[in-house]
Amino acid sequence: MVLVLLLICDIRLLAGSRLRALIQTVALQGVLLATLPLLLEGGGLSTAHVQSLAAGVALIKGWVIPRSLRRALRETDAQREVEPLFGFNLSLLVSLVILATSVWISHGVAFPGAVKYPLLTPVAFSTLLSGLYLVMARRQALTQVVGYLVFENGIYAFGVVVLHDQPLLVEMGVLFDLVVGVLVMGLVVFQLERRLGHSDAGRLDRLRG
Amino acid sequence: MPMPSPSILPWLLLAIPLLAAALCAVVPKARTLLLCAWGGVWLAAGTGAVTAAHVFGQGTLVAAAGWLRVDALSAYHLIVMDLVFAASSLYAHVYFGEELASGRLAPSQARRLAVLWCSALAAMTGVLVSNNLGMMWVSMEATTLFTAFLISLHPSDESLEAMWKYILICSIGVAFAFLGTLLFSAAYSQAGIEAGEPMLWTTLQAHAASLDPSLVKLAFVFILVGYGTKAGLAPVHNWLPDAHSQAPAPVSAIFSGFMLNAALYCIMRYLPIAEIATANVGWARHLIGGIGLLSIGVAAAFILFQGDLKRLLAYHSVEHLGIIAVGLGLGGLGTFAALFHTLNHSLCKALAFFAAGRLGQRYGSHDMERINGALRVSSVWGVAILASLLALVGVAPFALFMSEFQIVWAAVQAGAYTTLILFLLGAGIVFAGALSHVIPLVFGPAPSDVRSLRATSLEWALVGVPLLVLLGLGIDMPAPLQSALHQAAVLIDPGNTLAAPLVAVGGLP
Repeated sequence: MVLVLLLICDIRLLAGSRLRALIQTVALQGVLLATLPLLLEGGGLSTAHVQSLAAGVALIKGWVIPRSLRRALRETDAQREVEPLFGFNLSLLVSLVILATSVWISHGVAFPGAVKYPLLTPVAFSTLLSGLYLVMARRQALTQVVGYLVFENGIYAFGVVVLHDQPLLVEMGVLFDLVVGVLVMGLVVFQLERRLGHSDAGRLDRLRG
Repeated sequence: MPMPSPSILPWLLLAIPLLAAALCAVVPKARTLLLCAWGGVWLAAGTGAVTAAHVFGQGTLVAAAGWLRVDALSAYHLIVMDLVFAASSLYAHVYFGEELASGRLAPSQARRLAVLWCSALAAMTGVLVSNNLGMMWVSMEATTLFTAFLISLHPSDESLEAMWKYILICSIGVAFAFLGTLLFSAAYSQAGIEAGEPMLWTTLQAHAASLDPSLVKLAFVFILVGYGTKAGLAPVHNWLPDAHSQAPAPVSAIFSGFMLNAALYCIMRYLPIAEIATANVGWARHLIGGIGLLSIGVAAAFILFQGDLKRLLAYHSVEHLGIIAVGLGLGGLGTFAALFHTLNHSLCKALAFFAAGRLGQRYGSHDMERINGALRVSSVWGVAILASLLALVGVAPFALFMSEFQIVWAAVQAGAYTTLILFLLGAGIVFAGALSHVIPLVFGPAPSDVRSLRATSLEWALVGVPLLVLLGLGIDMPAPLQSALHQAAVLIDPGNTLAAPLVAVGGLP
């Protein structure tokens, strides 16, 4: 069920044009991801470690990061994605291609853990690829930040699949990097907006050669 | 007085730059806080030297239940990093001192610079001393975040653009490396070995032979793409010329002089594990060697038609990181030469950026159409740019020539003639391309509106010492360095038997 919702988030991210909706969707996806380790293997893994991690992920991906993104959104007048390189209908098609590719990859490599949860790997990969697509195909700087987040969500889902016993310190470090990364990106968007009057990454083309 | 336990050294290496960063955040005066930053770096560099001496003399240092570990490979990189940071800090004192006096650098910018400078040193140290591969990744990503705002220290349309590309491309790239890290530890969990933590390099290394080869191959590709992005290897180098050309010169010097090497160091860590897991057939080495050759080729094409001095140097970094990768790909003597080349390139590239920065301050531009007759404007920096560019294209008797020669020799020994031909072709194009830029740059008349520069004795030392070291190493390699290189090379290439051929190369003119 959660997996299906995660997939719907991916498709919605690719097909939507309003930035506010994108941010909401990525927040929802983050919260869904946070519940994932709790659901796996029933209550057997619900140690204090897993629970505190789930709470941390939900807090950061569902609240802290979306909040700072919304603040960045308020400062810019970019409410919608401007003329994307590929149209939104085409993006829907791309999301289907991504899904098919993910299923194909998951069958190709024998990931540990994939036997127990056969659907988890394709979902993780399709989230990962959707994020990459958003970064590459969209021009609005904020949409690219959202794409980066979706990509990270995919990696997190993948981490849940392949191993569930990483040291807490490492996971906290990864989350911390993510938060700071998004904050820094948000600040760059501010500066771009203030200085250039737009945050259209497609128009950042002064440096070449 | 009782001697403190040496296992405190890795902690000190991390704590000193962090404390210096904290100090810089609270000291009120701009000039004082900059001095705190440079002092902190020098103190950290001293500790680094003590650590390295201990490691090479008495063996690996371990602390924090095996999470922190300094072996010969980390210690060697620690030395390179500390040399680059110590020299760059002295240079930054000159460079930013002038900007502070002329008001181009506001006190708030000076504070940001000092805090981020020390934090970047701490993050790079973290990469080197982490035995936990997850923490190594966290530190690597932290270097991106800390250095991003150093690029746009002087905000302009171009520097903001460069910073945006840098942070986005490197974050995505390094995220791929995280995927690779996860896969490596997953391969370990899958192998069903009970002992040890799956995220520790030492455990992975010890059990490499029992890991699933197909999973390890996939993981290593992710690692190579991921850390390769940060190391500026083609085809994922796009952020590098922009970031290096827009950042202030001292920042470019630490980027090119060490940050790229820190990323390549991460790949060096995974290389032996991937090799052992794939039954030592050279799969991983071929992959990294191929990427190295591609980097040399791409860089050669861009160097030929480059108009901006700092972009030229940035493409030289792509080329030289490619050369190091080719050395690693050859193995044996190649690994040894790759590590030697790391030191040579870092010293030389830092010097080149020092010169480009000082000349740029005088000419008000890094456009090579404008920078003419550098020798007339400043004899010391003119000599520096001439010598460093010549050394970068591999002119004898500089040390870069020696390490490149060793790589060629390694290719001959390994019978890798395709590699040899492509390597020589790339190096030849770079040589011709760069030489055509150097002559008008250094000789000829200077534009009439450029004032000449009276250099201080510190600036003479900043040029003279690296140049003498590069010349000295090109003529003869001291025994301690040779032993350090051996100890480090064996860690990357465990089946390494290079004692015999080395004598032959060392004896060559």
